[in-house]
Amino acid sequence: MNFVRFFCVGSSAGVSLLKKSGTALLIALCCLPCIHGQTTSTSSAAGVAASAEAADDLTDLSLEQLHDLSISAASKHAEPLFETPAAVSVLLPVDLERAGSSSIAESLRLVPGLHVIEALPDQWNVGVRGGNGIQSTKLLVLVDGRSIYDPFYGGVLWANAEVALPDLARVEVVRGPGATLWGANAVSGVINVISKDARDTLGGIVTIRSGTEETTQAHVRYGAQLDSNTWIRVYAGGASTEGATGQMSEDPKSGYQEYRTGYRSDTVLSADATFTSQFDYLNSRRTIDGDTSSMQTASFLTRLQVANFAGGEMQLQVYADYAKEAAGRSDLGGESSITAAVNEQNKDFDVDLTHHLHFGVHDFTWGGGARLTDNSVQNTENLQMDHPRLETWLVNFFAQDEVALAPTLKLTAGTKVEYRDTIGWEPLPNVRLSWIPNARQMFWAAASRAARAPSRGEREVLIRTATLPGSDTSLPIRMELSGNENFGAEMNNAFEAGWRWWPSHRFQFDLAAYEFIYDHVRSFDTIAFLDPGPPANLVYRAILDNDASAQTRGLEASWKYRPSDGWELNGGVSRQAASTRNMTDNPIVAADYWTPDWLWHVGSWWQLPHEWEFSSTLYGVGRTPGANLPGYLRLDVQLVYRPRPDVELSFGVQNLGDPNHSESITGNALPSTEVRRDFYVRAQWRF
Amino acid sequence: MNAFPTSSFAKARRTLSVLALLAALFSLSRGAANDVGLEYRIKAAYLYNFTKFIEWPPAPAAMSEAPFVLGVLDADGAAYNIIKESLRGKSGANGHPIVVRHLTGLDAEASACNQIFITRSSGLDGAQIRKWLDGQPIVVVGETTGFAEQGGVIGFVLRGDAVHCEINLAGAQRAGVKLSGRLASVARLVHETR
Repeated sequence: MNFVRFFCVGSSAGVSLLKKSGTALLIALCCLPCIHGQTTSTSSAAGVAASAEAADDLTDLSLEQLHDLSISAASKHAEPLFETPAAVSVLLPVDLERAGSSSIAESLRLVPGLHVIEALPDQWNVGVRGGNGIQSTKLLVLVDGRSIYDPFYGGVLWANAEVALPDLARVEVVRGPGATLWGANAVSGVINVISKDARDTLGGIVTIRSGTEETTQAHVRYGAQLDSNTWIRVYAGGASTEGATGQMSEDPKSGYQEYRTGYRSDTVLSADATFTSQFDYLNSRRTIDGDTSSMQTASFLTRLQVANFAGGEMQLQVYADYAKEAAGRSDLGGESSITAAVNEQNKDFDVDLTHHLHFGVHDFTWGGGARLTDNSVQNTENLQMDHPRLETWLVNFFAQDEVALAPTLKLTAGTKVEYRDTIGWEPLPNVRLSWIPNARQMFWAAASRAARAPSRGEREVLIRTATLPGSDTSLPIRMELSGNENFGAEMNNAFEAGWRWWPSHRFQFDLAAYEFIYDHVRSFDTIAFLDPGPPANLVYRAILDNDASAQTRGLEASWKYRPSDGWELNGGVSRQAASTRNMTDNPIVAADYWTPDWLWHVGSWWQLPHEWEFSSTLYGVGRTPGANLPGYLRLDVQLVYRPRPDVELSFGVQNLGDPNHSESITGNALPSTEVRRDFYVRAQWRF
Repeated sequence: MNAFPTSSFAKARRTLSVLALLAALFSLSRGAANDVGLEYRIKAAYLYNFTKFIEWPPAPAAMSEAPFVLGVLDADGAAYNIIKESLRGKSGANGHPIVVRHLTGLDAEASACNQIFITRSSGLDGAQIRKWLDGQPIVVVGETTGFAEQGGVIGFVLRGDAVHCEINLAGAQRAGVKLSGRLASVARLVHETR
């Protein structure tokens, strides 16, 4: 329901840590001075007596703002996101609509500090706070609390993180480590894509989008009430992209197709308990220069939320996940490119428990979980794993307490302790301080430790990356990339601080600064030896190690301004820099710490007469010093016609000013396509 | 009212009322109790927004300067007071000042309203309201469960601790009003059950 719940309890329901501590504060304040009739400005937003005289004029809010206000008496601030001691952004469906986003990954451009790259048709790379290689290794992405992370690649396949816009509740983005609540791999950020409760998606909706880039998307959903306390929705959708200009060839036979289907049901068991179940299936196929790879994923998730359980709120979540990937070809660079087909199957079974309660001035959250992963990769001539099939356990416990040290000062301290087969026991602590002098501004600071666990590939793989034929005077040469069974976790010690200034409902400003110190970072040692064969080969093998280190630091700002009822502006800017030590030049690896020096965007939305709306967003990406790539600008515009609440028609252009540009920062090292200007039409009908 | 009662009975009563206040604050902390005052201020803000996002049939020329009348059908008057206070001095679309009236039933005074908010405490059911409406150009907004499905135009729904809206397009059509597409971003459409 609001960000703070996500951050503290890890789900979209349950009352937040900070809201509860706000109540504890209110009691602490009122028990003494209330008889004397004293109240401070921090306590005026809550409490029955104060509400009639609170200065807030809510008629000043936009419809979307009203929709999100919390009426829980436990909130000190009707918008609890304000109190969170972390760099957090929330993207609402209206933000995605106005930006004309056709996918969740694309909409992340609206968050400062996030670098979004469209690498292939429907394949995105998202980097948070510096570094954006192919994998987004340090970013934890969740859909309704379920982790989207491929353990073989150690990265995120964004097609799995899609929720169609009509069914999306919001996207919560935490920039910075979230390891204490989310565990290893939440190193540079956590993104939680949250879908709507089935009670909020009743009725039918059909959406079709078609563009000149020959991208077509279609989605159908129908929701209904099954009985007096169960609601359900069912959906089906697909997308197809044909042709794109490749960096390596102009072959028009590049494209992407996907089909999805699934359901979600919510059952109200009692006044305090809700049960949710969800199933999602995705089947996708990508063709690059004639080679085809495919992916199928299916997941089933159940969640039980109880509001009055042993003095607090409890959530129990169980899910099972299956993914099957067949990669036709992965081009790993070099002069003579090699096909390394990867056939992988992955199964996950995960159980998680969270309990949140408060006593005295403490707001306490604790819990734990376990995940069993069964991953198998088929050995081929060019790619071999030590264990074709591996079962791994991941077990964790966490506890976090938020204490009100003084009426306006709160300290949060907590830790997660994780056990993984690959890295043993790992403590992941964090401590946060927030100072909230009044209802208009707050300051926060945090220090935390996070770990990026090694992927299966990094520990076991042996890949033949290139072969060069021999000649009269030299032997044939073979280039290899080898994992290391001792490859350990990359660590991040992070220091962050921020300031939030929300002087009115019409203007909000957020500022955050960070310094990340990475240790035990992925590096390579190269050895050379003679393989007698037959046939004899000279072998150059690069072996993974943890000898590099890196630092990234930066400043991020975002703002929203609503000058009048029919005009809204928003924007963000971030400046970041990264430095590395002992890092290879290989772009596939080094790109993890390459970052554009500036990222900014500014957007405007106008309500025009007769039910028309116009929005435009300008994005700027600065040059990437590490890769020596130039920056680029991108302009998206959109006109929307909404004659009635059930019909909507949009016309827009993405990348208006530029016929095409490349966004990928790994250059020729990996397949990528150029992003082209796209004229699109989108129609939506509710029934 | 004497602010400082001196009799022992009055002292005991004052102590009790202070304790009651503390108890009320404690009970706020325990469960998911909602701030009712804030709830009605949010609903008042929605009602204000509805005047801008709904188009009523054009009024006769003599009435073009008339204020916009919002009636609140409220048994005990608490909601009416909050809404009246929230909308004091506000104007709707085209600058018509908004006037908030307290209604006690679906009577002639109610027929003079452009928009009526029917609170939970009024105890009316959907069939009665629909029968009385009979094509009048009035937008009825309610907050009981299933209000929109029973024939009202807009219903408020509490989802968790936020106030959301449900819209019934058929009801809007009968009243002859046109709803703006913008409402789709905060409301979901429902179909009438009959």
